[in-house]
Amino acid sequence: MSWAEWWWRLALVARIGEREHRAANPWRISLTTTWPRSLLQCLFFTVLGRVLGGEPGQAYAFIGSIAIVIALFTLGEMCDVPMRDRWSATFYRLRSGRIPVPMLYAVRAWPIVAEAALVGLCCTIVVGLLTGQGELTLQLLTLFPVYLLLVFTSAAAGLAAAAVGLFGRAGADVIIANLGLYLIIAASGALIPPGRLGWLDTLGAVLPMSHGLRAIRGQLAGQPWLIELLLEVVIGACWAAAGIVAYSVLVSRVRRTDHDKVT
Amino acid sequence: MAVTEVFVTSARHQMAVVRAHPLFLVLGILQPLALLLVMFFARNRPIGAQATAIATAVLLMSYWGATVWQGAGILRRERSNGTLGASMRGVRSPVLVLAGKSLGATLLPALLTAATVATTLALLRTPVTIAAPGWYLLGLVSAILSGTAMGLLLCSLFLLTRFGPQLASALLYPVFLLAGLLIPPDFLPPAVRWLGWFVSLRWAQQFLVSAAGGAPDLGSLGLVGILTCGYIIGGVAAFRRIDHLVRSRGNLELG
Repeated sequence: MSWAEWWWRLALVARIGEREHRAANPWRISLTTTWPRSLLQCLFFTVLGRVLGGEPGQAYAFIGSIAIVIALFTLGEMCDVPMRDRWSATFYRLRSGRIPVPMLYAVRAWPIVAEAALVGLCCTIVVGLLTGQGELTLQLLTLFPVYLLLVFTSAAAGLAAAAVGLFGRAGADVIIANLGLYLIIAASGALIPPGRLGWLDTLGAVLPMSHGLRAIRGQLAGQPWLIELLLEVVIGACWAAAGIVAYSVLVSRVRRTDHDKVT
Repeated sequence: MAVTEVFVTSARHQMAVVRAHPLFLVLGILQPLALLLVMFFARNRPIGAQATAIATAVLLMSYWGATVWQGAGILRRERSNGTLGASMRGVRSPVLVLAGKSLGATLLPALLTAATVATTLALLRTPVTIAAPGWYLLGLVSAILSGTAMGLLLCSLFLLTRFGPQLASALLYPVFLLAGLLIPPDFLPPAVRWLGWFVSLRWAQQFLVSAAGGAPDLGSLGLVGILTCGYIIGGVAAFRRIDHLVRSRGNLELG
């Protein structure tokens, strides 16, 4: 394929991804249910931080809550992208297509990635102002590019984990999506500071978002942050590589055996 | 078939449906575990009465999650499985069948949540003290019945939309915020605090914490009962409306 044909095909995939996403989540539903849920979840964890640790606790939880809201989309909803092929029994058409499956899913997932970034931004502004943290909100807005990095690293992890949902038992996608979300809540340092539980820290080290959150907190506190940011990039790249390997292996297995659960 | 038998059979059937999908593991294990870890390790470790109040709140929050995700989706699931028509046109009262299913939908996640909370507290070596266990158990049963009534109400409403999962997710956090389970009502703006009065879980939490402390607040238990009756009346009215749309107007499909 020429470059022009590649771009044309990928643009088509992106368009299909947008249509699929909007068919399942029309704007009126997103704006009246999904977005308010995200705002309220961010508000809940932020106020909970205040209950547990006063104003410092609130500020700590607010920074992490934005990441949790992003994960709602990039980990919670990402499984739906490949799962739609399982529900519609259309995977066999993808695996016989010319665009590699991992690339196809990555492009098709763009509306979820975009919505995660947009909702994360809204939560930063709305919840920050509602909880009287104007100064911190402004600081976080200047650091929002780091949150954008977290959107991509967590989306890579979400898409890689979704491979298990695609070929696992019925309902495996629900477990995978929720496991990812609750791991981010408990082990990424979003709400529980590092150093409280050794095994949580070990788990958090390989999760997306944990190093990025440390980088954000480091920047706010005037401490070194670049290494944590680079570690976040590395972790994101590792998850992306895991996703590419997982889908490639699955596709090759299905091609070899011509027998899969998703067709 | 006696009323009790219909109710119990419906509940058992729904428990089998719940068991077949791993969502109950999320509701009964992952959610309470994550919340407990946050509450116990985000700041200072709670002990004594505070730990008991947190464990109770986590129980109720997970139970609300089960009500919204499992109970509220009963009729939608029946429609997609093609069994809604049989349920609504059966010889037995469809409301009775639905009430049994609503209980069955939330009972398994509730029991699993209780086991998860107990195991986690044991692993964390955090003892909880319940001074009036009989009253505490009564409070838990009243909370479960209240959730069953709420499930009855929600599942009829959810039948009217194809966006049930999104609606369910939107119902979680308003209740978490307003019910004063982990966040005391004093932390909310005065303008919205009164909304929490209509959430039975708020009064259930107050009663359970008071029972754990040895002085059961029977007024709160009474309010749980009154609100549960309100949910039942609303649930039956919503179900009759669905029935009317199906049988008289013919503008709601059964499957």
